[in-house]
Amino acid sequence: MRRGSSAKIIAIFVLVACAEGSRGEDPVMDRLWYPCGIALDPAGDTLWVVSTNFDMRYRNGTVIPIELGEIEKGFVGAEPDTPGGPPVVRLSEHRPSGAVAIGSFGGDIAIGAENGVGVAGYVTVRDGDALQWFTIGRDAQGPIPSCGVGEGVVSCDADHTTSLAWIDKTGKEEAILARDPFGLALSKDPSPVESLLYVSSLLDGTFAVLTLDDEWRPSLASVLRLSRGLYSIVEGPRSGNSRVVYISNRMTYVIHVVEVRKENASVTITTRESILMDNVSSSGDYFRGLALSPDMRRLFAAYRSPSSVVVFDIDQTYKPVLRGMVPLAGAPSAIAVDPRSRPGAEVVYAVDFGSDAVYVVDIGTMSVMERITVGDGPYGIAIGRLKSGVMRAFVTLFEEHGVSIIDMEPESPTFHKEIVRIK
Amino acid sequence: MSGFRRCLYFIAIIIVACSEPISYPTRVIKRGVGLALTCVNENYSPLPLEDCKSSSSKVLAWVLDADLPGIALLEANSGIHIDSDLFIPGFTPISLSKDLTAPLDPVAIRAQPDSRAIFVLLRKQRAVVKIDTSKLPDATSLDITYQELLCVPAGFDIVWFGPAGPAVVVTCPGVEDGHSGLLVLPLDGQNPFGQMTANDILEIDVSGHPYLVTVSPDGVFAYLTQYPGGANYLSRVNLETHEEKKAGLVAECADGIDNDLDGKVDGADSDCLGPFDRSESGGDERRCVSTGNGKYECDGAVFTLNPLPKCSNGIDDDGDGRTDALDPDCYGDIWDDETGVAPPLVGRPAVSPDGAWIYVPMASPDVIRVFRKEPFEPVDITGPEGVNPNPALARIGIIDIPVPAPAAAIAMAVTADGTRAFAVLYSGELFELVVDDHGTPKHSYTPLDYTPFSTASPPSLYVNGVFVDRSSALHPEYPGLGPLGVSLVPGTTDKYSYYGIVFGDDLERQLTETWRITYEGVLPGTRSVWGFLSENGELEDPSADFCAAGVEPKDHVVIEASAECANGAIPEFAIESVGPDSLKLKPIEGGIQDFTCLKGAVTYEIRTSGMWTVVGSRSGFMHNFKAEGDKCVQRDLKDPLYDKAYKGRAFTSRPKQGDIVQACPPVVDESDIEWLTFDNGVFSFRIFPPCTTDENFVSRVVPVQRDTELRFSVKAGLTSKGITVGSLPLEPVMIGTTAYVFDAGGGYLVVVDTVNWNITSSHY
Repeated sequence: MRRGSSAKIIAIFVLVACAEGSRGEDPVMDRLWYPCGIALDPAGDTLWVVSTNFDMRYRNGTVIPIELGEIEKGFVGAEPDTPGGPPVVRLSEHRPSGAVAIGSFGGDIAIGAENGVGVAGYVTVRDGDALQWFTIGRDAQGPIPSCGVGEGVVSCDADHTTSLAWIDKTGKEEAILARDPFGLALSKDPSPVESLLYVSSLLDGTFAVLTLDDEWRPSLASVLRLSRGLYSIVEGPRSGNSRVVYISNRMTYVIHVVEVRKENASVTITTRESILMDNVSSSGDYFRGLALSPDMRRLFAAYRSPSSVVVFDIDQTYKPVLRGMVPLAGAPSAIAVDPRSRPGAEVVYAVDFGSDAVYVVDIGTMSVMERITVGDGPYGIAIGRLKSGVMRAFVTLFEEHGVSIIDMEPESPTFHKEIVRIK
Repeated sequence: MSGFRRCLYFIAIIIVACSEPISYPTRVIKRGVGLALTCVNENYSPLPLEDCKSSSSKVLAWVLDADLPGIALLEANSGIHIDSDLFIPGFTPISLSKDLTAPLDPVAIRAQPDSRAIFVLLRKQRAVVKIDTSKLPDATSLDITYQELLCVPAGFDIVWFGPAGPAVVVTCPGVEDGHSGLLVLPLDGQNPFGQMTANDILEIDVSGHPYLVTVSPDGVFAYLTQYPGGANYLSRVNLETHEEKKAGLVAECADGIDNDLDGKVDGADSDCLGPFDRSESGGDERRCVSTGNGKYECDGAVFTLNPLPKCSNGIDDDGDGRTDALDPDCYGDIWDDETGVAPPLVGRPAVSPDGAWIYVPMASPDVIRVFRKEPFEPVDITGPEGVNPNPALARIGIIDIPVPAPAAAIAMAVTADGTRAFAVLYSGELFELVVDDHGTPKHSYTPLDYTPFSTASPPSLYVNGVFVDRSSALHPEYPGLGPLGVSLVPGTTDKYSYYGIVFGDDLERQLTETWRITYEGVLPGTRSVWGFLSENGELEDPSADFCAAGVEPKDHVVIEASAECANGAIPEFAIESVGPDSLKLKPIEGGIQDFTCLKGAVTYEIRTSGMWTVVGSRSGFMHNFKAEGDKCVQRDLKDPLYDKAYKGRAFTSRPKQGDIVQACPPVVDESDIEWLTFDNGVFSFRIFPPCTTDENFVSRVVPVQRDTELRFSVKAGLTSKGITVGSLPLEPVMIGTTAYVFDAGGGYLVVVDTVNWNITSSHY
């Protein structure tokens, strides 16, 4: 081969290898791909699932709305994939009316609601270090998310992408301080302008607070550096203009407690405490999901060193005080509380990524009540009541590209069983 | 291939495939929930546990794994697992399933004291499983017997001696199935285990919802805890007479017992002022009297509480199906919390080998409560008459043995020096306590071989709740406690100043907690929405206890006032006199001078004036005031809660004259400053005044801003002998002075020599 030909071939290889923007298939709306974050629309009619596109098969990750009324109707008579398994409903047969394309490696998702119906959604996206958001419209076919122009899988435009870059106060340089954003939580307020959006960064350990305008558009308001590995966020009790926020850390055995003060348009964040765990095994993998009891008196954390649910009492100064630990097996990831739980006897659901199960933990007795087997690689969890009135838990199946639906009705013969799997 | 060769291959494959007893280098137990021990001799014949001390005997550890579900059986000292199925490669646990369609839910495991049987309690299957150990070491064909129960069980124990023994006792909380009580399953009855009918099982009626149970070594008494979220008492049931006695695990007004026998329990008893009230038989005299429906009469003036407290608003606020007075968490109609306080997390009782003492592990607060057998009641360890008086703990209502982390479980053992208790803590430690020393009750920590000491963290500065970072700049314009370093206190050889904080000599007063020193801070518990102000400056509040809050004359009351009412003046008043639920106010300079505009219902808070509040997260605001009639008075010397060291107010050190200081920030012991030392018996410190330096390098002190806070944490030095055994250890089991602990976090068994305090072996 002549030298010139070799150079051309090498140049072609280099060009092809560098053509990142066009790499991968077009994202599709009827297939979940390495799903992670999950949220139930407050209206109880739609499940919002973040596909992370973890292997970069597609050009983007997606947020896909799954209309639950259709699924609930559709799974009666659906066939399992494997003998003895739950019936499987395919998204291709219940095609969503729209979806949004986000960056790859999406994290948590939160849905903002007006009059009990989701109107805006937020997702942390590690590819691009951004917060992406979308509005939710509805027609007869169901919810239609939008974050740009187009139909089908709509790519989020710049207006719906908030870079988590924070301009240094001197204004001289731009420093990205919120790389790998993952954790996300939206405060519970009656209107967007009163709400706050919290975002945490895995890589830089920054905790950012964003305010929303009356059209739910977020803008960065304040940032505080805590420590690397910030993971899950929950908003706790409030006192006057102050809100206490708890943030877990997966790289160190600490729960950060911060106070966020909102006065008109001004937001300040101060550190209150850092709660350290006494008992650790040096795995380098510590806290994951967080959840608060409905009365905000107990904080529950999925913990990996050792594998357990850690239970804290929230004292009068809103400080978490260790109450005890419930041993689990595997690798707990997300955690959720049954909203119907009695104070002090909450029922907590801890997802075990390692053994494809969800542990049901009775906080009253500090023991595991049940272990529900689900599909492969369970990660995120959402619990809520559907529009039809029935209670369900939804678990994303990272390795199986699906969602498990668990029956949460105690009187039902399938209580605490996976009743359908969406793929 | 010839037939012979094929046969050889086949045998070889089988041999290779068959598992061998080995000690595993990695985790094989998934989710251990319990440990039981048995003993065998060199021939694997069962030996009583108490005889398991000879070198030829072996301790077998039976670890209940709830995720398998089954039992992992291993030799405790060698870690060699005994396989229950040799044809399955690797280790196979002993299976507990036997045509049971419901998923298995094993919750506890116990061994028969003669090592001849193991029992497992299955909750969902309502059964006790008995495993006959006589075929060991062949674990492939153990005889397993299932005995059905009449209820959904929660806890169990083995009775070996006494009126009921040998038997299995099982608690039925009745929370799920409405069937509560204590079941006694005789092991020597007419029908063998596994074939017992309801007629063979003795059912003892007990109060409430029994949960965990431990039977005394003599087999006479069963000690029962209550199902979490219910009553907070320990009951003792005589297994012969079936008589039940109760003793509280928390303050009398939250223990679920009618302590004064007036027919009313806790919140229903009008003598109870709240869940922390230690006495059900009498309360403070109140000036304001409820006239019902949220109305109160104070000295003839009647007013309505607005908003109505949760315990008189006619709403089931906590959603427990009980409203206002019907909710036991309500203490009178002024109480504003229907959910009650978080009950402690109570573990399984442990009984001393002589049966004299019962230890109950608790979390929130993290203590071990001690009960005596006769009379059956909690032992006040920290009070003036206690075996280990501790004024700091007694004052905050802790009569128990405090532990540095929540205690999960306890085991007892007799040593050459007396009885010892071994608690496992959620910090991963095995922690020793002295129950008695050669028969003399101690209930104390085991002395260490060195002198422990407490430490404090560097004080963090907050101004109006906003953190001020002093790591890169000193910020002398704010007050401080001195140089940010640890240094030897001048004139001493072993006393250190931690960032200006110097601990006193009494280690027992030093609790692990966070302290907040706040300039003109709000006195804890004095923010209220139920104030009622008269036009002559009398502030009444039926929900208040100003004496207990430590309010003093000259403190200030800050009232929420409308802009029109304040008219540019500060809505703040000085306190002239203090009563239990009333204050006499007077105007201050620059404040509102007339009460007329503010009269009626007011929201208010009480702050110190010109001084600092010193408040501990456990110790609270320390003072010596109490209510006596309609006045607040200082406790007298005979009062067990009196302590001359109790102080909760500190002052800023200031220049002796004028406002000029030699250096800014002032140097330690600067001679022209009048140094004021705060000493509350726990620690002492001095507050360095804030200052600024002008362009002529003249330094002056400046006023302290209200709500400037210095916050630090104390790590108590007092501790006991112990050792870290894992990250989430379960109930320890003792043989002699050797402790066997299964760590559910790491999935391994740890053997601890508690005489020399070292780990002799650990195995997956």
